[in-house]
Amino acid sequence: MGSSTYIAEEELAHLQKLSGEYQPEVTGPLVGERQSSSAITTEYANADPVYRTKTAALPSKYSHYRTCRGDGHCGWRAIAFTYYEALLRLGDKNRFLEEETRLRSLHNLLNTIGFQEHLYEDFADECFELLRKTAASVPAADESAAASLLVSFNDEALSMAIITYFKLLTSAWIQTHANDFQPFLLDQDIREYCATQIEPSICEIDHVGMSALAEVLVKPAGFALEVLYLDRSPGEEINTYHFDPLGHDGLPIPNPPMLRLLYRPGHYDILYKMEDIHIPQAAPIHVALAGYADEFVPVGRGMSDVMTLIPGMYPTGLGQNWPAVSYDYQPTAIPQPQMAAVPTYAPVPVSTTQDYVSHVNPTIPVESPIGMSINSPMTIERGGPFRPSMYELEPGFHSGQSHSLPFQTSIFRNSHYNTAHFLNPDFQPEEWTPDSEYVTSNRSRNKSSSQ
Amino acid sequence: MSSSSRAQSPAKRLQSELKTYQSEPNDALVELGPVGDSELTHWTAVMKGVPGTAYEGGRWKLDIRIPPTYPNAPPDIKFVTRICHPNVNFKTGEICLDLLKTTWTPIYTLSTTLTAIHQLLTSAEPDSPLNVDIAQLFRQGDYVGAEALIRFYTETERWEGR
Repeated sequence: MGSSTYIAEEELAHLQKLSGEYQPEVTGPLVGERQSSSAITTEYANADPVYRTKTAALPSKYSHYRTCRGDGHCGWRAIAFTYYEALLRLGDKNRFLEEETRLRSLHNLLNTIGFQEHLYEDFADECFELLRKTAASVPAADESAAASLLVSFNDEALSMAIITYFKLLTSAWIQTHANDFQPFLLDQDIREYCATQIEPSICEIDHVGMSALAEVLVKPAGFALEVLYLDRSPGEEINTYHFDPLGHDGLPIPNPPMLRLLYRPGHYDILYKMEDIHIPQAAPIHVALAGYADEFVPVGRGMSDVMTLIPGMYPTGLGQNWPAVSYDYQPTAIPQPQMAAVPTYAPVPVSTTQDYVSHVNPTIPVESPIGMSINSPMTIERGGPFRPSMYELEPGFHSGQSHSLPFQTSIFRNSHYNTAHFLNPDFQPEEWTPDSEYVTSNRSRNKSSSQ
Repeated sequence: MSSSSRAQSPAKRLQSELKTYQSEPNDALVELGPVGDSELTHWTAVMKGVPGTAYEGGRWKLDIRIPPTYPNAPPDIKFVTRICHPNVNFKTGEICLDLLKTTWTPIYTLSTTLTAIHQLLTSAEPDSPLNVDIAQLFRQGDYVGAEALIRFYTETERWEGR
């Protein structure tokens, strides 16, 4: 009996060893390309209703996302990558140098904890080297700098070095601020916690680690961290957790650059809002919008309808009906807030019916131009971007279409942009037709009742 | 792009570790260093016994293989000299230590890792055994028998140099 127990134990030990060494196959790039977040919605189309509801509302707020490989480092890597990316987005070379100096000053903490300088300096050097390299690429075009950062982060050794460095900083921060973190660790010894939950090279970030990393890396850089927890907890919205930076005066910094993560149990990905994608620098607006249109329009939607929603954009193909385009934007330009406040996306379809995808997609173009009109450096002035040019007002345009065009607003009607106005260079008196009279009066009645 | 410079990363690190070991030797070790000048990723070490324990007076040779991803991945360390210990495989010399697997962190060096293995000699965990015979003695509380067995192997298997 004794010997058979031994064999069983040896077998068990063997099985234990096998299961301990089992590594699930992970594929994909360490950090992926940015893609439309409607892919997340599609991914959950057949999932649990709670997930469906929560992800259905996601693309209207977070337009894009980026995957991280689920190799056990994704949370650390996602924060590290977005940290570099946020610095790059600021587009200020000096910020990189400031950050390097600040991180170097934290080496005192590392030494206090007993990390040996000759061991961590290799990792720190990799981190600083990438900071300098990224800083050097700032003057270049945005796309190539971002692409080069992506390549760097897909270098396993380099990104591991940066992750290791950030882990050591986090560990040192936790140990030097034991009073802040001990309550969250119950009875666990803080040194032991760091040795088993923070420092090991294969060890995913937990909430305590993330708070500490936000304290040591993200907040002092003036960035805010936002984590969306997508889980099966009841509710229709994805739970969001914020780590907000404080300025030197101890007050929250208004509108800090955001690092956004999407957490699904056991995994982190990176999220973007539409406003994160644009460069806030005062680049010529046409360049920025063209870049947006070429690169980020989700496949499967015609480009034209997106373009029409961008104020000031009227591609030549749409020249014929540009006045109609400008009408769409009168509500945002002139004070008629109730018009802007009732876009079609307001009742976000949270129903669990199967056709919700078709509800979601139309929300994107409606949402995005509103966000852009608020955030883009160009403010819409009356007459500014809508000034007619010889290209839009072709002769054939009036003779063919002027009568059928629905001139709805009284402001346009009484302005000299109206061809029926006597100051208009292409003055053309309005002709009475029973049909248009009927349509116009009907519309004006609607309008007056809504006001 | 940078893979060529990265490939030297373990070499650079190992050289700095070797220099550090030479200036600050490890009390638990008789020697530690690369097998040959040409091969920096294959080291060997000789460990001392722990005075006042059943491992007193022992000498064990260890074989250290360093993966190309070191220090992000742990080194592969095995006992060459046979040792009677609940967490070491008697035949293969494989060591069961979480530091060498799950809790490895890049700030450990080969020297500090060997210190951890040295500490394992006196803090065995018979509940996750690789040597079932000695672990069973521990678990049954037969400390006299266990100590006798360990002393026997410590003496008979002692590493006597090359």
